[in-house]
Amino acid sequence: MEDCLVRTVDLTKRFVRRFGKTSITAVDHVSVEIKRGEIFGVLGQNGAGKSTLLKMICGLLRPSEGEVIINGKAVEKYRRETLSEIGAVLEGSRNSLWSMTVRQNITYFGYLKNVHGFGLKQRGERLLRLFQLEDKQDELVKNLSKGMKQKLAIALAFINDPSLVLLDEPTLGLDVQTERIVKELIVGLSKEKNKTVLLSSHDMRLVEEICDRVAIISKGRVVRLDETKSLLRNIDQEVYLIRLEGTPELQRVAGIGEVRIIKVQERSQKEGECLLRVTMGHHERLFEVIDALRAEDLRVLSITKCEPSLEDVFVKVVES
Amino acid sequence: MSRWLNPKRVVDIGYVIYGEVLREFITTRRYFLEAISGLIMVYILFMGFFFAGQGFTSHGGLPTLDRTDLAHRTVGFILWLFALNSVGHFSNAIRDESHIGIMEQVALSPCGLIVDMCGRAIGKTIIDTVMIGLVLVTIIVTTHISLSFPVLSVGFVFILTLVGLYGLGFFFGGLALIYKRLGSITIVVRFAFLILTGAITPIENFPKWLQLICKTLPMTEGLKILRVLMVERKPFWSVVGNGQIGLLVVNSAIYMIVGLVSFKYFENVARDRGLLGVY
Repeated sequence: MEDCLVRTVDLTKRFVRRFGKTSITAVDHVSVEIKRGEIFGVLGQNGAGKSTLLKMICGLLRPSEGEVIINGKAVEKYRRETLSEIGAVLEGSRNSLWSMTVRQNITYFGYLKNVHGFGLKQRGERLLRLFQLEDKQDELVKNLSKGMKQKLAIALAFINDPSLVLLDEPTLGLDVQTERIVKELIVGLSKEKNKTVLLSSHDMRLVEEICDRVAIISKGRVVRLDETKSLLRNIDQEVYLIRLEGTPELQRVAGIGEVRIIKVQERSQKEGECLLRVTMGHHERLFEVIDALRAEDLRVLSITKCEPSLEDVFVKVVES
Repeated sequence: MSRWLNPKRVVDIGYVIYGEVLREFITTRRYFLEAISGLIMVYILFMGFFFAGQGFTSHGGLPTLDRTDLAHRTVGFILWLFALNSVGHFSNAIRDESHIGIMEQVALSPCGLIVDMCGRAIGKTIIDTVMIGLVLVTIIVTTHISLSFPVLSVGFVFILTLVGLYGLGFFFGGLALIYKRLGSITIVVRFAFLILTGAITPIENFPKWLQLICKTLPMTEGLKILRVLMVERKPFWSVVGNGQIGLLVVNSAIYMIVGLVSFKYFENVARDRGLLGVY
C-alpha cells in the first residue's frame, strides 16, 4: 500500500474577475504530499488560500493548473472513486440537515455517500457511540447545542469510512470542553483507524497539539512545510513573558524598540498588572526592551522565558 | 457504458434516489400543516376560477361554464400544479441548501448532483401525486365534473410530460448553481405556464406567433393528450395514430437532454468559479 495518500502537483487556482480582465491567484503552485494516517494542518491568514486548497482537494473546485491525486487516482479524472475516499466538514455545524433527527441525518448522508444496508446500520451505531450522540439520535438537529451539531457534522464526515477527512475550522465557536472532545476524536480516529486528516484552522493551539505536520500558506503559496515539532524546535526566536505594573495602552507598548509584541495576555492579567509576550531574535535584545519600558515609566515585575508556540512560528514565517 | 451497468453502481444510485425520496417524505411530514394549507389555498384558487366563470351570468356577463369546459380546465389546472412544483424544484432546493450550508455535502456525493436531483424529482412527484390527487378528488366531488382515468395511458402521458417539465427544471437548477437568486424568474415562468400552455384558456385564441411558442412548451402537448384521454374519453391509440404521442416524446426528450446538458455545463462553471454550494 502506497504510503502517500494525497498528492497535489503544482496545484494552482486563479479566479478570473471582470470579464477576464483581472485575475486573483488564490492558490499558487502548491505541491504537497500527505501520508496515510497523518494529521496535516494548513495554517494561513484570512484569504491565504486554505479553503480554496481544501475545496480543490475534495473536487468542489476545479484547479486552473496542476492536479490532485488521492490514493493514486486523479480527482478530476476519477471523481466518483476519489469522492468515495473523502469525508469533509467545510461548513462546520451547518453540514447537517437541521429539520431532521440525528439518526435520519446518518441514514440520509449514508445513502448519499453510497453506504447502505447492514453496513450503514452498523457504522451509524458505531459513530453515534463514538461521538456520544446515542441519547440524542431521535432529537431534531436544530434542538442540539452547537457542540453537538459540530460533533454530528464530523461524525457524518466519517459515515463512508473515508481514507481522507477534510476539516475546515473544526473547533470554531466551541466551548473548551467540547473543543477538547472534538480534538480527542480527531486524534483517536486518525491514529487508531489510520485515517488521514487534513485540517485548516485559525486555532494555533489546536494545530500545534494534534497535527503531525503543518503547512503555512501565505498569498496562496506554501511558505513553510515541516513536522510540527521541527517547526517549533527550529524557530530562531526567543520568547519572553514580561509582567508589568500598570495597564499600558496597547499602542504604547507595541511601539517599543524593534521587538514585536505578539499580544498582551489579558487573561493572565491580575488587577493592576499586565503580561506582555515578546519575541526576539537574540536574548541580548531583552535589555533594550527593558530600557524602553522603563523610559515609558512602566515597571517590570518579572521576566520569564518560555517555549515558542506555533503562533510565534506562524507570525515569523508569514512576516518574513 | 459498462461502468453504468456495474451492479454496485446501480445499487448505489438506487440508494441515493431512495435517500432523496425519504428526505422529501420526512420534510413533508415535518411541515405537514404548511402542506395542507397549501392544498386548501390551491383548492380556493381553483374554485375562484370556477365561480369567476359563472358569477356574472345572472348580470348578463360571462356565459355559464359547462361541465365539459370545467373538466378541461380541471385537467389543465391539475397538470399546471405539477408544473408549478417541478420547474422550480431544483433551483429552489439548490438555493435553500446553499443557504443552510449542506449543498457542498450533496455535491460531494460520489453519484453526482444529477442522480441526486433525479431522486428529488421522484420523491416530489410521489408526494405531489398524493397531495394534488386529493385536490383533484375534492374538485370532482364539489363540482360534479366527470373525468375518465385509464390508469396506464394517463400515467404514461403524465410521466412523459413530467420528464419535459423536469428537463426545464434541470436548466433552472443549473442556473441556480451560479445565480442563486433565481426565484423571481422561475415564478414568472411557472405562472406564465398557466396561460401559455392552455391550462385555463385555449391557446388557439392567441396570435399565431404566440401559439407557435406555446406549442413548444413542455406541458402543452401532454395537456392536450390528457384532455383527449380524460375528458373526451378517446382511446390511447387515437393519440398514437395521429402522432401526438410521438410529438410529446420528442418534445420531452429535447427538454430533458437540453436540461441535463445545461445542468452539467453550469455545474462545471460553478466548479470553475468556486460557486458550488456558496450562497
